[in-house]
Amino acid sequence: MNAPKSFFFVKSLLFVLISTSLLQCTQVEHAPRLSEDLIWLQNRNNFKDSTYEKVFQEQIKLAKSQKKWNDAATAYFAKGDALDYILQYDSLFLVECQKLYTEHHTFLRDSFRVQLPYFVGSQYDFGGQLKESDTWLKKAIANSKNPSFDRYAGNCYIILSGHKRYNQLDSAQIYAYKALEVSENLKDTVNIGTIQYDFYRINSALGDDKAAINSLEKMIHYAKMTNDTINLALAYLSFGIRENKNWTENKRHYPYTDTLHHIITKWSHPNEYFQFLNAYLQANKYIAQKNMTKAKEYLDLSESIASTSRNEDKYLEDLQIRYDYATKKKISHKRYEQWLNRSVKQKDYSSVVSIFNFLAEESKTNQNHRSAFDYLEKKYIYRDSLWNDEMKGKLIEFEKKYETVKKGKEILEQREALFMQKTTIGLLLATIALILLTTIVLYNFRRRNAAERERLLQETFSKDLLQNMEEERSRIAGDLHDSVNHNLLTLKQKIESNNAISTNEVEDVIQQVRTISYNLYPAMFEEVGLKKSIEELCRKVMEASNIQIVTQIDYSRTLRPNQELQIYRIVEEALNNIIKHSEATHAMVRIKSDTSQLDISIKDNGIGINADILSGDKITFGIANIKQRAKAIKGMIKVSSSEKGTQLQLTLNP
Amino acid sequence: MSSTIIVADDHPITARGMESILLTMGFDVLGNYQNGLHALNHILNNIPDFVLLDAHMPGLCGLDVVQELKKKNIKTKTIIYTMYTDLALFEQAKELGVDGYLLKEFALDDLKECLDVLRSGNTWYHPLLEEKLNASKGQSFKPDLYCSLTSKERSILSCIAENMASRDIAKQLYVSEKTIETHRRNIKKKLQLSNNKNALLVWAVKNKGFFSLFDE
Repeated sequence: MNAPKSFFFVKSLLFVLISTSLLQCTQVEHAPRLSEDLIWLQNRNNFKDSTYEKVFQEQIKLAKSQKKWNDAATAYFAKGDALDYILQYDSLFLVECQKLYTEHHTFLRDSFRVQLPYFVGSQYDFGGQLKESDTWLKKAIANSKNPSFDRYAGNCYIILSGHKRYNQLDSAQIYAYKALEVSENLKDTVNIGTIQYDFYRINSALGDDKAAINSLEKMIHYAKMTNDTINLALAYLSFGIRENKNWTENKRHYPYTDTLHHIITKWSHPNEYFQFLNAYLQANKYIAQKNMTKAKEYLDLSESIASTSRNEDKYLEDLQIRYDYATKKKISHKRYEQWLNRSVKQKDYSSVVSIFNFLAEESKTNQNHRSAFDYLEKKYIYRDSLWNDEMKGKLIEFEKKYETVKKGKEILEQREALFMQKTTIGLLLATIALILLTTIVLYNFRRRNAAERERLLQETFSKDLLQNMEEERSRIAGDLHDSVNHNLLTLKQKIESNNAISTNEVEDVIQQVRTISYNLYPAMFEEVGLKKSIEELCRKVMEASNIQIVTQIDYSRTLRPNQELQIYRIVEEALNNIIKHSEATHAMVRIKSDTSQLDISIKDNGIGINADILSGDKITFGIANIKQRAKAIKGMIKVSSSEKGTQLQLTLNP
Repeated sequence: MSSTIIVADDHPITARGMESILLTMGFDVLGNYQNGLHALNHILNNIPDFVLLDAHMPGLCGLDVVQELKKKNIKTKTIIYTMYTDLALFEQAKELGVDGYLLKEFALDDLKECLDVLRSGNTWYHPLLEEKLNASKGQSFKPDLYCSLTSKERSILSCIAENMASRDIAKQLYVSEKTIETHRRNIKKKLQLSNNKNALLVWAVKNKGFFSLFDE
């Protein structure tokens, strides 16, 4: 690729500047006492001495034999610095320096742990191995205790920025800013100018002309401030080439071109590349000014110093064409095509654009508007390509970044949505599950509770019923034995002894039997009916107790006799409870009936019943008996009580 | 001409005994049945002057037979005779229009008198039961009557039951004494009490225990 190569060269130029400042730094470094030879090695000027390499090798050998790794590092540092200064690539140095660092870096001083990797990275850069270079430069930065104040870290940033300029413009910019930070921290104005040049390149690549020119102007400012000839020249050169490329009659760069020429001619040992470009620019200037003699002079000069290795033939070719055109008002199309084809092949779209621009100019001058238009059209296509090329890196990068961010965001959003969804669903499910569970548990609990209570009730009831039955039997047996049997025995004895028997005596027995019988089953219940049976019951209760009972019964026989009997028994049981527990003085039994419903109500003015019994927590036989009987006839029992009395209500829907 | 009679009793010995007694009394005993339904059929066929019915029988009970005969306007005089002294049964029989009601234990003594009274066109019931029933009917608290009272009248009645004078009641209820007197008259009327001056006071004191049971 053409671009990295040309970059490499420009970068090399930067190091001339950087290394200048490095010299000061090395001298400041306070190291343990060094041998005279090492000190000698550290002097950059001695590098060109023929014995330098010999001394260097001896020192390395000595240090290694004594295992004085820091001495070896000092020697490598000295040579690396010198190499950096003259921008020289030394593969042997690279390998050895790398080896020393890799094997013994744990013994090295902190400063060497930054500097040696830097030199390795720098050498790789010279050798065009950008990937390795990046790795070592980053290693150097990582080893630096405080990169923001470390000159070598700063240098690393500058080179890294240069590397990234071709494919990662934003990384390049970040590194450039970091380099700027280091330079500003160290008040290194020389490097600030260099970094401005870096910014210029980045901004140019970004297509931001304004920022690019701004960077160049800053560069000039710093170069003037520090009397930095090289940077100044480079800045003017950049201006000139930049304007010249556009192939316009814009003359605003001429002052820069002139200043550049002035600098170069005054320079004691001018850089060849600078000299060449200066000649190129001067030639171009004179062509534009139609001073063909001068133009030819500089054309020849540039031809004489041109070096194919530095890719200068491209400029030369361009210059020759321009010259030809200016002198003959005609262009050698064959030459153009050659140039054009090569440029297209190399994807050097800036040159292609220049060529088409030139061709269009030529056609216009020759009144060949048709081809001028064609050329212009092609020019625009290639300019677009140029743009594309320049923008591509940026675009791809931004696109990638955008995509990544978008994807990340999408993933995040999706995750969030999913999470929300999941959360919502989960929450919903959890809620439903919880409600369900609660319901089930509650339901089960209640059912179990109810079942348990029912069971208990049933159990207690059965037990009580049996007990009650036994009691009843024993009472009847007692009654029969004590009263009936006793009286009959008396009567028998009287008959046997021929004593007279009074009617009353017999009547007593009859009454006793009647009572027993009645207690077992209400007399003529079916014949008499519910109303009269209950009234009779109340009368009997009143006779046997001090309770006053009234009945208010509105009932015409609508129920079956067995249902009526259950109601009768319920009333009987209720009255029994009243007699036993209520301490009531008055009570009433009321039956109200209409076509659909039968309401039986038994009420007393007693002391009320216990809340435990009322709620069903405590089961008593009386209440249980009533409930069982109510259940048998599908009746609803409701017991309410207060200290003013108790009311039992039985509702039937026959 | 001797009177005709049918005896229905599910106890054969009692029935035979009764039959022989009636025969000695000069009755023409047309039949002796242990089943109410058979007895009814026979009565309807022969229309005897009298029928002596045990209350409790298979087929139809005595009361049912009475009911059937009265429904069909049969002129045969009906007599229930039973060992039960329950008022409920007696009351029921009376309501059905039974002509005579005998208790078995007193039947020997009462039978002639009963039949004589019936023959003269009147009814005869055992005096003990009549007495008991009247006593029960005389039960002075009648829920229906009490329930016909207004709440105002009820509160006045409660005051009367506490032995309060009309004047005090008037004061307590913020009405004139005259109004209370009017209320008293109305209450007395509604409760169907006698015109006796103290009737209401006596009644109220006696029955005040019931009041709360009917005040919803």
